[in-house]
Amino acid sequence: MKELIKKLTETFSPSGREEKIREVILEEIKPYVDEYEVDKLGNLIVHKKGNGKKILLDAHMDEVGFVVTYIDDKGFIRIEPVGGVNPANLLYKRVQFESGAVGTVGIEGETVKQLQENYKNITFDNIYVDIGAKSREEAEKRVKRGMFGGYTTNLEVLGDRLMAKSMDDRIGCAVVIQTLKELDSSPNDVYAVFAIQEEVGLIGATVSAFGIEPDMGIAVDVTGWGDTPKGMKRLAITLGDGPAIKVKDRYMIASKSVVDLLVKTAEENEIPYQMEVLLYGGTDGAMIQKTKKGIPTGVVSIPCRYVHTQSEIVDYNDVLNAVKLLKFTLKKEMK
Amino acid sequence: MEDIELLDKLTSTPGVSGSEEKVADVIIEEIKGLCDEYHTTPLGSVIALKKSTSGRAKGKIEISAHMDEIGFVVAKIEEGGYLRLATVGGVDPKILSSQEVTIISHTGREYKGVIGALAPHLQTEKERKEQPSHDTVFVDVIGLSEDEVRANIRVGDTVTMHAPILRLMKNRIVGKSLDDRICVLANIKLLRELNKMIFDWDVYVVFSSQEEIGSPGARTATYEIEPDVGIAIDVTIGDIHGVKEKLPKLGKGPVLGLGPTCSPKIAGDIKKIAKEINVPLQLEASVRTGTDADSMFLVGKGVPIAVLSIPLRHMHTTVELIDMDDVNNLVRLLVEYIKQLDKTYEEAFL
Repeated sequence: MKELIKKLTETFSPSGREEKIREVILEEIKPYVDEYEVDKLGNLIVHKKGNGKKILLDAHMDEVGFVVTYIDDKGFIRIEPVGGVNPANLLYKRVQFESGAVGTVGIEGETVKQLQENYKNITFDNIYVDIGAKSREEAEKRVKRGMFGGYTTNLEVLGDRLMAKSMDDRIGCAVVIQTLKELDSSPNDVYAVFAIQEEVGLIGATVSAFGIEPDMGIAVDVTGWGDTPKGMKRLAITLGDGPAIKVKDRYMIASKSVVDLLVKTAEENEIPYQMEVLLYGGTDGAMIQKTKKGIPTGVVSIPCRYVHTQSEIVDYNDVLNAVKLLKFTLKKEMK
Repeated sequence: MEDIELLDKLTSTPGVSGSEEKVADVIIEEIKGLCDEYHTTPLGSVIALKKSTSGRAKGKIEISAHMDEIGFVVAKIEEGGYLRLATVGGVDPKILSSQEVTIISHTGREYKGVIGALAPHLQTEKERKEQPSHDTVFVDVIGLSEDEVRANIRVGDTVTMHAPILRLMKNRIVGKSLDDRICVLANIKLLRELNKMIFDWDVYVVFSSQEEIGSPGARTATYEIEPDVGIAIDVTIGDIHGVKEKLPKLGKGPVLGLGPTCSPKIAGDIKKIAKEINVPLQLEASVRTGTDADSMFLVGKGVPIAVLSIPLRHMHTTVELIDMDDVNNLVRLLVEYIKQLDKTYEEAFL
């Protein structure tokens, strides 16, 4: 599964520009589903037919990034975030653009004092991207206003841990793909959506469940962590302790029926798990849950450190156990 | 059941957003004989339908009161078995120190706890000046060792504030979760009245889930109902000592919301009818209503909405204070509005 994770995380597709990642996912999953569709907004919806309850899995395929707002006379590029990008993460890091152009990020400062001030308060107003161009004309051959950009890092294997950009939420995509690959049979009618534009407001998930009208939704996404030096003291999430079953975050309270089902399945099959109460953030699950008359929805989360940076770290065992948990859940006969 | 007795039961039953089953049970027990049909939605709201008794059902009206309350879930179990909390809805950390709480375990059992406080003797100069925050709040579970805590309580278990039972002084009531159990009571009283009268429209009385975290309960219930008129009944901030701003007064009648999302037609009809039947009515302007109505408004092709509120002091504390006269007047107003729906809408089409 590491090959799959490598392929997914190294594909560059920020929110609104999901074409590339959609192709990669489709190629991976096509042999394992009965039918698929790309909806009007660009969500990839796959279907593995069954006679039982309709269950919708969700993982979002976009990643955070930025968009070009202005290119100056000297060829320096100004950007705005697409999704939750901390500008401090970008400084002096390599970045890439849709066109394949690469560059790095610099910061303004006319005096040493001002530079020191700016370092303390890095904003999108005092940083710029340098692609080595000497003029606007030269820059515009590689990068245009409105073009999207983002992180460019490769997957690194760090013992049991994996580090890459866009683990949020390519690791969720990997889990859903692997689950469907391993799901030889299910008494349920299984759909999975690889959703667009989660990072800019759960856009894909606002419509994905509308046509399907599932009986239950399960989003697969990353969650925070509390196991690093002076880490969040009210966050009881530890990498390697198992996939997290969400109770709540800022955007939703997971439906009790789904939480109970996931916990029961984990316990019956001796899959390690942890309960998740996240003090911030939200997932596609929040939108799926309030679709139409309401859809009981839960979230299986992969504990992930340094979310929304170039160096997101997950534990491979949590990933494998998430696949196991979903597989056994889908195999269950539902009332 | 007497109003106060029922209200006591409603407010002492836990129903933190997302865990409304127990309070829903109390409500269902009360309304099942008062409506034609009822059911619980996938998100846990209760919808009761009282069909038109004139047989002229020309439209559908939804009246929604939320049954959830603010509270907490366990965020982390710390060394010693102390609990850290995550809030559900808007809880002010300043009111928490020395509160009693109830922990509702996933096993179904309940445990008592207190939100502890550092003795003044032990506080440093700096600590004395510091404001409490949710990062400093912890629960001391009473009578359980750390091992027992870990065996019986897990991250995600619900925690509610445990307040003394309702107290009644003249028409005033003090208690916890009067936001919005007082309107749950109003909705039940409304159903009782509907059983005694002739009216033209189908009335959907909704007890919604999860208002305190953004109203997915009302939104999905409204999608199902597709009402022609939607009214949220909730509480609003009543006049309070030390606030110069002109706030609605307790005992001076229900409060009609006016704002860009509120239907001028419904508001106009309500104002007119209040005058006709001599119900005092206060007005309140707001850009967003901050109630279920904000969600109901945007469902499907859109729903014309109104908000009627009970003025309440000390909101989101365990000593919420209301005047029962306002509740009775709210019910009278809703009854008359429902009675006249056919007439007001016929006139509107002329």
